[in-house]
Amino acid sequence: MKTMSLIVATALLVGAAPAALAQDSDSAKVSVTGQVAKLCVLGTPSNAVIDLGQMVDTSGARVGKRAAIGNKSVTLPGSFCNFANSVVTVNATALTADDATPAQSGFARAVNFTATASNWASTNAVATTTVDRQGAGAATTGSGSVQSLPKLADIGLTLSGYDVPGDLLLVSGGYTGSVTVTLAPEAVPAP
Amino acid sequence: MIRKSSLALALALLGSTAAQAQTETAASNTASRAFQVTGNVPVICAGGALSGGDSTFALGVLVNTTTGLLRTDLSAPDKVLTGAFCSALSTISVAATRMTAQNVTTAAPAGFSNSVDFTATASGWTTTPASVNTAASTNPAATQSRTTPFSGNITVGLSNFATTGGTTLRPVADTSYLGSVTVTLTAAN
Amino acid sequence: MKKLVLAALAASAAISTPAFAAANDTGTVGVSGTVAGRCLFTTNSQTITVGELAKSGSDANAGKLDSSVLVNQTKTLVGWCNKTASTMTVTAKPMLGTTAAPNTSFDSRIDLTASAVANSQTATDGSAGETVNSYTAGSPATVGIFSGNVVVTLTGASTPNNGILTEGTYTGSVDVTLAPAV
Repeated sequence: MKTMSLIVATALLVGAAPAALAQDSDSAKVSVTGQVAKLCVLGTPSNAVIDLGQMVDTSGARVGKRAAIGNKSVTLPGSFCNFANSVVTVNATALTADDATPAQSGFARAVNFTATASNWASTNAVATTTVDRQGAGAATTGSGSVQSLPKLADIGLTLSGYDVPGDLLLVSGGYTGSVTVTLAPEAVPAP
Repeated sequence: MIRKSSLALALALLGSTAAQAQTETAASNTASRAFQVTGNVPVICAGGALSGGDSTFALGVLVNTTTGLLRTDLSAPDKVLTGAFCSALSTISVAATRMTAQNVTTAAPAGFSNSVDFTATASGWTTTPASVNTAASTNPAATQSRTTPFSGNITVGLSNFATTGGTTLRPVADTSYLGSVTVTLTAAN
Repeated sequence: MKKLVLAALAASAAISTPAFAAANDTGTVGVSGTVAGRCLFTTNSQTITVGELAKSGSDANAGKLDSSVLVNQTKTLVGWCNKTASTMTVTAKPMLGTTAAPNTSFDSRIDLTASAVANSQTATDGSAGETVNSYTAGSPATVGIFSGNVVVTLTGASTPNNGILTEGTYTGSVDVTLAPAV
């Protein structure tokens, strides 16, 4: 008689039931991107016209000649550039008589002046006109130093230093000149 | 990425008083504002300063002491108004009152006269000098015009002295005969 | 007479069997296992790209944040969780610009508020007031067992100083985390 022993081994499928480890979580990212372009804005001034009024003395030793015209100032409030390295520039055109007739001997039909734009960078922008008594001559431009940071400020514009070529008598009538203030990126010289 | 932004760019026009236009610039990194600068010069005429002594033409003794008639060589140096000007076109006019005896106020007797006529001329301002003769009934040349501003000297001179009423009359004796000359500059607006 | 001893090793999942079949013997083998809780994003990255972030013009608000270009922007992630206690949290991280703000008239940071919706459950977060690189997540929402879209939406945008935005490129994100257990 045969006897057999059968050993049957039972194997268990052992599965671990671990605690929820960090690596069983998952994260996702929705990126958000955009941009802001370079922007300069000059604030709206209270006046778009700077009027010097009557420009000559009507009596006294300087009758008919340039009077002591005071400085005139305008503010461009809330002006800004949102980027680094901007520059304010001022361009000035001398006052000349609205009447285009050439001035007679002894007379001038032009008034030079200095325009200054301030409160932007360490050095102001300054332009002084230099036309002759007939008003001939180019407009002049001056730039201030570079503002290295984005800036928000009230830019000031001042006219001063009025001068009649030759200190001659001024022909009568209306006179017109102009000043332009510009905010722009620093001009980088061409290589 | 270019953004369109509205920036005020006002254009200043020489010789114009038009309202400023606002335009947009394509580049938002630059902003400009233009200001018109205005002034005015009123029309002014100034008579200048009298040079060459005082404002009196001193003729001295008016008569030839032998004949009692008006001297024929009466003269006085011209007076000059220096630095006269008008800053616009203008007219110059000269007016004069004859020399009249100041102390003898009664009518001159027959054969005598108590006034002396003359011609006053203001030259240097206009091509044709302004002149007035105190004996003339009309003086069309007394007012002259120029069409441009001018700055210069006005020379006032006297000439053509004549006894009022006729050259054969004798001026009455008086220590003071007085007349006047007025030069007026008028600017036209 | 030969004696046979069988030694069967239980080293594998297989049931050892004798070399010869015993006559008519029956054994029972139990099979059991566990499934760990897990969450997974199958789409784990999206990008919301907007253009110009600042207002144009030259009035008092020129250059400031135009929040309307961000609000309601939405992207959809895809994921699943297999555990009933699964949660979802959102961490909003502000958009930081490449040019520093020199003073309080300017901003170079745009704070975001965002929501994520999965399995009809919403989790939200905002970045305002949080220190850069120490952002905290919002309150978790229990999403349970789900598989499907996780819709991420920007619900708000603001700047700390209400100032003019500095020029440059701005980058932020909305991070979503799915965790299988509380």
